[in-house]
Amino acid sequence: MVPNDRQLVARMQRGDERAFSEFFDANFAALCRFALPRVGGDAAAAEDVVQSTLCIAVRKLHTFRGEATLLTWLCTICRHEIGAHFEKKRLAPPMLNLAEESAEIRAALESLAAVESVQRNETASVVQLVLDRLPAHYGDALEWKYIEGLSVDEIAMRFGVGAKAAESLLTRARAAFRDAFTALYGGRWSEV
Amino acid sequence: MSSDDKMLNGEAQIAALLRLAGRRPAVPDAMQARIRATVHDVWRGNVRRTRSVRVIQWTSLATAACLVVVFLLRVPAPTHSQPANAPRLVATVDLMSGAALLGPARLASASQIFTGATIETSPDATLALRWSRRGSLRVAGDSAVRFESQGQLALDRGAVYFDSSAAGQSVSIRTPFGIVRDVGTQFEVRLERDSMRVRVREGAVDLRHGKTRERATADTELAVSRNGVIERRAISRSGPEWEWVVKAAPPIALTGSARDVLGAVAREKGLTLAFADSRAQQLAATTSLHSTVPVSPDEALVALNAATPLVCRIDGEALLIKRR
Repeated sequence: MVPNDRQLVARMQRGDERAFSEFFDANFAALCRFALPRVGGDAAAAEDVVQSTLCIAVRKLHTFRGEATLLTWLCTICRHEIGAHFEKKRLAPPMLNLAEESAEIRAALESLAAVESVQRNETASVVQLVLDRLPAHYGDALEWKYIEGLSVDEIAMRFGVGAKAAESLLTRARAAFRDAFTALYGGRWSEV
Repeated sequence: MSSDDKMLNGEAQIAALLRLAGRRPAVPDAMQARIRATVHDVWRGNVRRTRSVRVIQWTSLATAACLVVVFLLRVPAPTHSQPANAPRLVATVDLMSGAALLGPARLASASQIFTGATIETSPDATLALRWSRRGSLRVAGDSAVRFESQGQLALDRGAVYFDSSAAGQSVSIRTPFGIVRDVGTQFEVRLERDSMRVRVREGAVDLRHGKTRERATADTELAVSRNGVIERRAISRSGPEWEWVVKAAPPIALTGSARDVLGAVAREKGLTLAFADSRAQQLAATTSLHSTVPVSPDEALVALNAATPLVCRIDGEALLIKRR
């Protein structure tokens, strides 16, 4: 059960505008990144399916049970919309080689003397997938710290919190990232 | 390895992974804004509908309780209250070219449009709607409108043109620059980057901007800037700036008298209908047309020239008619 997501949905059902903004801001970008490769990189198609996914979701909030995260629920709806998109166009969906789509491909790659760049790309996509699935702001905090090189104080300012709160958030974010990455990468944390 | 060392090692690994992956791709702001607005409309509509259903349910429960009371105490039952804000049919599609959205879905020629609905047109689209009991509303390409009530439209982007029918009720067009209200007219409202323009072909409009109220009559344009400055100038009723309006016009039926059809063409093109002499006028009134194929205003002129003893020619701002 994900109590925060259920509370957010309940607030949205009551018409809370701030809840709508939280819902949209937390899930929109990740949903777009989920959809885009699955429609062959077609930005217009991605826009269509993401829009229809979110419209279906806000109409069917009462069906969200909270057993998985809101993003997982949205991705499930999005898969159906992507399928419908290709059916309408009578096209076959693109062949995907995304790590989270095929455990067999990942296992096959791991067992091969794979090209280093292929492994690197796969690792990179898993990292970005994990960042998208972390609780709100964890992904942003980690990117700001380790890619943009911001200090804790600068991160605190961006979030509008104190330095201690920002440090605490980073600690939780690192732990969450490590747990999630390990789960996806099959316990090979020490080999990374 | 100490726990501090392990922690540092873990952090270093995280840093390395994140740098390997790079930043997650951002979504274009414009796309985000478009989708956010559409989804927000759908969500708000759903919240309103859900509240209406709850009002009905509670009213039913309350009424049932009162009926029980009636049975026990013999007092009159209260009347049912109507659900608030239930969407009402406000417009239908007369003609469309290009793509348009009705909420999240594609607008179709058979679509019915209810209050609360948002319509967005693609850049190359034009749309003509029949606004119930009010008249013809044309929506230009790359525009976004919303029917806030049966008599009020919000123009969020682009341009609309309104032509009130003879017995039509008044309409209001709400924009970020003020509210434009018709007084029996043909007029266009266009949003630019930092201004709004209202151009009146026929009749008059009232523009309310803050506490200011301005009236514009036929052949006049009012331009309102963000700092509230209103400029007025004379305009022509016909010409290139009205072409999108003509292109978006609902088709004209070639039935009835040639005079009626010529009147409709002149109205759509912003021209004055003029006859060379009284015999031409009489001939137009007595020539009957029988066609089942609706046509555009320009096609109607071609058809009249080809199939009737009339010669129809545009001369400046007049549609001149004479006998062949």
